[in-house]
Amino acid sequence: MSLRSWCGRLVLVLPAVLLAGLAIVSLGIGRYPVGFGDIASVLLDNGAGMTVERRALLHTILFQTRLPRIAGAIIVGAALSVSGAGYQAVFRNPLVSPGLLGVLAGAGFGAALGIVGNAGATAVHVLSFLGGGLAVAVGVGVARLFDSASILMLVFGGLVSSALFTALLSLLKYVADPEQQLPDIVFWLLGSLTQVDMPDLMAISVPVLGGIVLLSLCGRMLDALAMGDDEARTMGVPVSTLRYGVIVVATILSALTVSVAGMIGWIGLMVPHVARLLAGPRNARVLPLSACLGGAFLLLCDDLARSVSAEEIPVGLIADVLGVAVFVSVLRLVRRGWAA
Amino acid sequence: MTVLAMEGVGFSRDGRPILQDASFAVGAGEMVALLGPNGAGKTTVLRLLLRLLYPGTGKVLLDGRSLARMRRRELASRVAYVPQGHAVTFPYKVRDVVALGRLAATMFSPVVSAADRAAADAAMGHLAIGHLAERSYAALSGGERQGVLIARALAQGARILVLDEPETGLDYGQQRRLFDLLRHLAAEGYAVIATTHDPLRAARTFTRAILLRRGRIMNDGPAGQVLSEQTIEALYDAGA
Repeated sequence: MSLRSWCGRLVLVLPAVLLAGLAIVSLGIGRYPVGFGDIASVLLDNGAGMTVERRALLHTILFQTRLPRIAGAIIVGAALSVSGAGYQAVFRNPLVSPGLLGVLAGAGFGAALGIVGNAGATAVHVLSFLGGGLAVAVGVGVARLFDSASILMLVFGGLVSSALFTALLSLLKYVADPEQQLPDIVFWLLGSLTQVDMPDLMAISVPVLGGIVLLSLCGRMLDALAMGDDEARTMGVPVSTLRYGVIVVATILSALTVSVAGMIGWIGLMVPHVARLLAGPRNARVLPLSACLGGAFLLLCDDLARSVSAEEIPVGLIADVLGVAVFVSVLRLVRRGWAA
Repeated sequence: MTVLAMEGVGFSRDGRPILQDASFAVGAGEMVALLGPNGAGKTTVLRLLLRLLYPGTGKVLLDGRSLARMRRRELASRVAYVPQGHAVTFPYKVRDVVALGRLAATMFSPVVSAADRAAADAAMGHLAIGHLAERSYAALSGGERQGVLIARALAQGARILVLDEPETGLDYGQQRRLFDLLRHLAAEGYAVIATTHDPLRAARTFTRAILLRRGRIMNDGPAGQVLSEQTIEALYDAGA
């Protein structure tokens, strides 16, 4: 095997190993510090040398409190990043983020609707997911009104839909009870993983993993799409099916993340750039690598969110600030990829 | 031997006829120039041959079978499109661009197999552009890009090449090399169909010329005979 293909493989394997390492380190981070020895002991031999009470305590902390949160951060980060990479590919534009067709605005609106209507936590999740889907349907519908599946009309439809659902969200904020509901909405919109629990993870992990695999399998067809719709068609690619299929899957991925973790938007734009910088533009690599890097990035942000101060900071804020810092620092390198 | 043909094809957009009653047949080894003033319907003919448009009336036939009912992947393995050397947003390597030609043949496999790589290398070798393989496509000159897109068409396995004004943006030397290459491919049995804005070169280089004027075929025959001074003037309204 040539050196080049070894490097190619390394660029995919190394981030996965880093992600796993970061997950284990993250288990030790939090209010009640747990040493590496203890983590290793619990993971490897089920805490053989510990007292029964300590073993039970560590089990509760590691597996019931921290593990869902860590898994949640990885899944949400991976889903948003892959979603962003998918959108960038079908729109042939590196500045596109998962919010382009209005999914984030719609999901925010759905969640706010649930909060204002005093629906339960599960209903808020579901409404948020449905709101995201509805907003994209409105965006695509507006584009289709003009009898065209062109990229420009889709972008236009997304703008309209985002504006509409942002306005509806503002309306809900205006009518919300300022004592209880309004702070809930605001906190939701900031993005946080504190609410993520095991049932949530069970509900979203399978569709998210399935979506990531599905989009990655379309990688080469998306490369053909990068050449232009006509060329892709003459190479045998079913262009419209591919474009709408990727939009549907990427939208589901984004909406699922908002439904469990609120608005954590920016990494969907930023992470695919870093992935392209490391692995080149081929989507069969960019998509899975974005998943790994996005998961690791959001996990890192969440570790900071729950450890830098006594009061927890919403992870969405940290992801935005850190994401901007990363993006600006790699922008000079990334720009080389954009054609003149 | 006819490979690609039009039979009484008409196409209109918004009720305005763009192409009317176009019939011609192209055989393997032919090198056909489509000429005519802007708006005469050259691009429409190309798009119909590639099934990027469907005819309103008449039929486009590939080996005697209607193009309309053919499967996407089968069509891609027979007819390849060589667009003008364009800009691509993401920095794909030349090797990656050429290997994309293998997509249809490999059922859209997400992995570039050793066979795909070999086919891409063979296509680049055939056109003597192997040295470009590791370069970024976006950083190439217009002539080099055109060569890469032809290599991709060869990797696609198609024996019919459809080119859209391939000389655009190329300097004299690049144009010569490009048309020499197309001639070689035609001599190997490829059918080459290209729109062009250069009647003088078409008369020298192509084996056949089809002249389009106001959506109709005005003339069709051996390029050297068809492209006389009078017909060129009549075609472009240059003498009026």
